[in-house]
Amino acid sequence: MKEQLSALIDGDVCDDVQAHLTRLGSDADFRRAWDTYHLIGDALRGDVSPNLCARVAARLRAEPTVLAPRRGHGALRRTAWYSLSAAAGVAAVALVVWTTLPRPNQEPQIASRPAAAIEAATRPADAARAVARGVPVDETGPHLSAAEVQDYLFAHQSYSHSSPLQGVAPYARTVSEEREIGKR
Amino acid sequence: MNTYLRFLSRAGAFALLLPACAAFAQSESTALEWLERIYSATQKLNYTGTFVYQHGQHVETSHITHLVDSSGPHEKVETLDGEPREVVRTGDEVVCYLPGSMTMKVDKQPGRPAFPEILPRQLDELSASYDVKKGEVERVAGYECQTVILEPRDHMRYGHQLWADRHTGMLLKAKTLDDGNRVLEQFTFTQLKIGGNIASGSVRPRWAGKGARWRVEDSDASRADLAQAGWVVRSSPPGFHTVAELIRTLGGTSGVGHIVLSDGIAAVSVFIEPISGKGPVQQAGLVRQGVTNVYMRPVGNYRVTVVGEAPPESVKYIANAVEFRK
Repeated sequence: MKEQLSALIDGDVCDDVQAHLTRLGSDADFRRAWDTYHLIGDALRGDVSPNLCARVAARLRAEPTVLAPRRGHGALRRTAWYSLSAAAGVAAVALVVWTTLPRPNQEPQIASRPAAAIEAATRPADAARAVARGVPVDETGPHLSAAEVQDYLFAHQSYSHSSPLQGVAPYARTVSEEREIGKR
Repeated sequence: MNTYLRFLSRAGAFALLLPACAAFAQSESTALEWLERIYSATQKLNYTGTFVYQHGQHVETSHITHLVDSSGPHEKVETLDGEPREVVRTGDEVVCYLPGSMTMKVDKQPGRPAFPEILPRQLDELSASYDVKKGEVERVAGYECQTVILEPRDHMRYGHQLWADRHTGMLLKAKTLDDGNRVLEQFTFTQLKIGGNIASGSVRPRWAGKGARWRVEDSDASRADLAQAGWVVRSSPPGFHTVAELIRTLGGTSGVGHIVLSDGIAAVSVFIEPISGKGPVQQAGLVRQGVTNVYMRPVGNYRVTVVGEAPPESVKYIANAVEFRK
């Protein structure tokens, strides 16, 4: 259905256009998908009002989105490197992965991943903000799985003992991170 | 004439006030002494309480119990929201229990002193990196607290604001701030009991890694001389010094080098691991999180990962200074 709808939007459907249009009138799911795809298109073309972009971005930040280029199935879903910041239990607001553009073989599939497309459309703005704050943006990011980050953090935090926050802060972070990872 | 007299009487009053001010200052702890008190209190006191940990829009409640007995310090932190997870520290051993995946992560900390002392020298060094000031007296979780403000003197570290109980020095609240004074994370006790009877059972793990189904991941950490092996951190941001060097197992890879640097407040870990078994050579890149930044770069056949509660500039600086010399 999604392929057909995508083709319809692109003007590639010649045969049963009428049937699809009728379905738009009757099938709520179909209509929602239609709206979403148009929104994606608008977002990619930059035709979305700044306000909407901000709201979408806020929603995305509020619920960390797994927009992982899939490199495996099942259990390997946890190796989603885009999601590692969120998985590591970190502030959704501060979640900025300096990974800029997806690699060619890991392109988010727009039709099946509207959120990814919108995030991709809003990411340049984040990058611009980062540059404005003087933080360099790397071309590519490290391919780290959530489990790997968890390993690093646990190993690191058990040694960050020189701080007066020790005894309260470091393990609190670890516990929190474990929990976030556990959700995935 | 009148003006002159008035001046004289004011100058006299000022001169009289001076010694009084000095005496007042002496009776009050300085900001650095407050840091020392906080440090010692979180280590040596017995306490049990509930705190809220916030970063960004994420809020989480946990429970902590810290108990010192004849066998040393014991500590348990567990989440109260969602699935229970625990970190239990006994002496120099930290165990993280993940009941969801039935995993126990064990980390021995060789050479970690039971009560690390802040030496006056370290306090001096700390004040070279931070402007340490006392702030207002505020109430947190029912305790009258002295605030202590640590303003970083450069962009290589974050700022902190600490709230300490005026009587015991116990840390009740802590904020970490970025260079724009935005709060990156915050810990706040909502309820805390200091001293009194704390049952020793309350620092024991709930899970105890029961049964053969639990998977144990042991760090097998031991002290090491990584410089001897050829690995050096050529230079580090001002104020950062190496505080530990180890060889450990990390994520199933043994023989991983681990160097810990600290400026007295912020800690940064450098992990050096062979790339074999970890997939292809990675390109350098930074992953930024609220307070923790992770920067990874390949160095020959090794992957250098720097993890720390320090700004990206700092973490990248350290990563780029890691060299193999032999």
